Amino acid sequence: MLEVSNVSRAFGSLQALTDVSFEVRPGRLTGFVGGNGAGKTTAMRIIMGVLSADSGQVFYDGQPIGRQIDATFGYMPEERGLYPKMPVREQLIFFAQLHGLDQTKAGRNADRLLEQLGLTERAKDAVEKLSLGNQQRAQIAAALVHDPAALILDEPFSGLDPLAVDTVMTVMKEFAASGTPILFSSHQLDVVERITDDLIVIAGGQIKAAGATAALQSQHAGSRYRLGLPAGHSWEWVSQWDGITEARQVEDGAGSGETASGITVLFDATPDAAQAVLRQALTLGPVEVFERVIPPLSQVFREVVA
Amino acid sequence: MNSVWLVTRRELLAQVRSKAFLIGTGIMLAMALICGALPGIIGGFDQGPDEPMKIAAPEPLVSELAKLKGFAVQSVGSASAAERAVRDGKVEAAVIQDADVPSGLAVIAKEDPPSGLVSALTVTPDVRLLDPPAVAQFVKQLAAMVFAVMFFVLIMMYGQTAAQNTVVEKQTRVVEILLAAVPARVLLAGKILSNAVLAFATVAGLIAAVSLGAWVSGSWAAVSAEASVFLPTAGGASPLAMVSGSLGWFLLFFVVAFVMFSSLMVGSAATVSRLEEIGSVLTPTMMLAMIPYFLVIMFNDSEVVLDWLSYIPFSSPTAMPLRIVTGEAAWWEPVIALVILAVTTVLAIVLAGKLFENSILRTGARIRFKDAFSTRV
Repeated sequence: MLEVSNVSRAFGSLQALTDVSFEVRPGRLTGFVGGNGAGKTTAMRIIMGVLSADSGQVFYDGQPIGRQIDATFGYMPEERGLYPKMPVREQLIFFAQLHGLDQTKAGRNADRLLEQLGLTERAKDAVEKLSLGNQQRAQIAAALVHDPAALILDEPFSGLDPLAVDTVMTVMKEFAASGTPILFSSHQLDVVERITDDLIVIAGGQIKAAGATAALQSQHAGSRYRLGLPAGHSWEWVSQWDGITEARQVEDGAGSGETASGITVLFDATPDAAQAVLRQALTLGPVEVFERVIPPLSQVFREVVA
Repeated sequence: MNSVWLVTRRELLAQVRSKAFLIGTGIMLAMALICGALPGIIGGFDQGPDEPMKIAAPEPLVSELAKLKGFAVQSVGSASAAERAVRDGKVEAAVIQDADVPSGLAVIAKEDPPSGLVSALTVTPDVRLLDPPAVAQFVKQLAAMVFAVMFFVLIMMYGQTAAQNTVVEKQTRVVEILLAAVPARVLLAGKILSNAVLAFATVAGLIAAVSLGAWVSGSWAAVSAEASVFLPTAGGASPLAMVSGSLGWFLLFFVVAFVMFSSLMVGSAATVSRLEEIGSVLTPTMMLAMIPYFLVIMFNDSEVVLDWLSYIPFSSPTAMPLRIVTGEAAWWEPVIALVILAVTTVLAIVLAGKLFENSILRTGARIRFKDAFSTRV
């Protein structure tokens, strides 16, 4: 487990991080979200030992992090960072060896990753000759090539097309499944929502929320419920029910109405009133969907940061 | 240590693969080869094989000299008659016996040492010119030029490339990945080491190319004959040994000085984030290399100035070998100058390391040197 504990860092008069603490658990994908200048990159650099903290510490499996431990981590900096004129495979081997792998192991890992990321045919090309998307894949390969004990990825999905996003996601999930703690930052909240197990929200250099993504979402789920009824059933009674502040029918497909050709009603209610509505609906006929609306991550993010 | 070597190897490969490097080095080596071959080729034109060189010698030598091909030997009565024949232009050179010189043999000529004759003899004779041209100073200037240009050009070439590579690493953020794996000083050490290896190989290659050209074209003999006239042969050392000795010293000084200059250049380069800005930060270091370069070329006839320059670490790599080649320096002088240079180099590395470590991750505007020393990453 990776643990950031009370880390602060200032650049001159700018306080980039204030008493930041969070955990990155093994085997889980932890998303790190925040606006521009929120402190994500600074925090990641401090974890990697590329920057030093003014105060606070980072621990890996209970041990304070130092050069030895950092060297076992995989890191992908925010901006593309590879030698433009060096061939991809050679570059991967160089980074693997720099992290202490021997030549044979480095070569094997490089070949495996090139294969997984669909870069085998470009292995001998200089990085500058690759498309931006392929450069990004090579960048990810560089972070993974030395069998890292933990992964710190700064914006791994930026600049990738949807297919490449899937490829990278698959690779990340595989690493997570093998028990590697992975921390990655992203602006693409829809992507984060799809793959994160845990989420850390940072704003103004302070952690605003941290925890399992699903738990955070349900914490921020308001008093909105979704009711799905078969087509032709009446729903107007819901708006007159006690404790219901607002109810409206949404078009099929809109508001992610799941019912095939039925009626989807969204309403705001207290928990008790919602249950009463469900009971009433069941007496009137079948109920296809009844759920509390889980807000999309973008909404959780806005609420947390606000 | 292993990671220093990895960085060194990568830097070396990056340099060696660049077209600019290959072309530049190729041209330099070709020029060196031609320079080495030139005296022999020109000498060859001077005395065509079909026209035997007229020489004069007193009796006991005539029969021996007659065995040599390409010489028309005239018998003269005495050493003084031989000298007169040379002075009158009846012959191009004369060979006489002289008990005062170690070889027992002396060659007399008017203006130019007869290199063909000198090399044809089995012993190296003492060469005496009746009308010596004032070229000793010219040779010295030439040597100053060669040392200074070689030094300056190579420092500019490799130092700048190393500096550029540093900025590229910073610009592309490769440096973040590198620093996540190894400490900044390993990175700096690898860069400096690769540069030192390259510089050493290039200078050694240049010297080898000159020697090869000289050997193939037969310039060796010509050069050594010239040298025996213009250079005092202290302690019985052959002039060739003196030239190669000073080249050896030059190589030694050069490698150390190169480490000094390239570490300063890499350290300075770390303070900027864009290649366009590199010129301005390299200026102070370039001045340190350029001013001594001009001083040595301009003041190589002033012994006092040259004495000083041969101890100042920024000019000693050029000035000291020059003083060795002309035999002005005592044996301990280059040793002291080298120690001074080495100490300065260590200080330069410490300075560059501080600049490098404190600036390499800071992107954006150029970092002032003052700030690079006072704040930390």
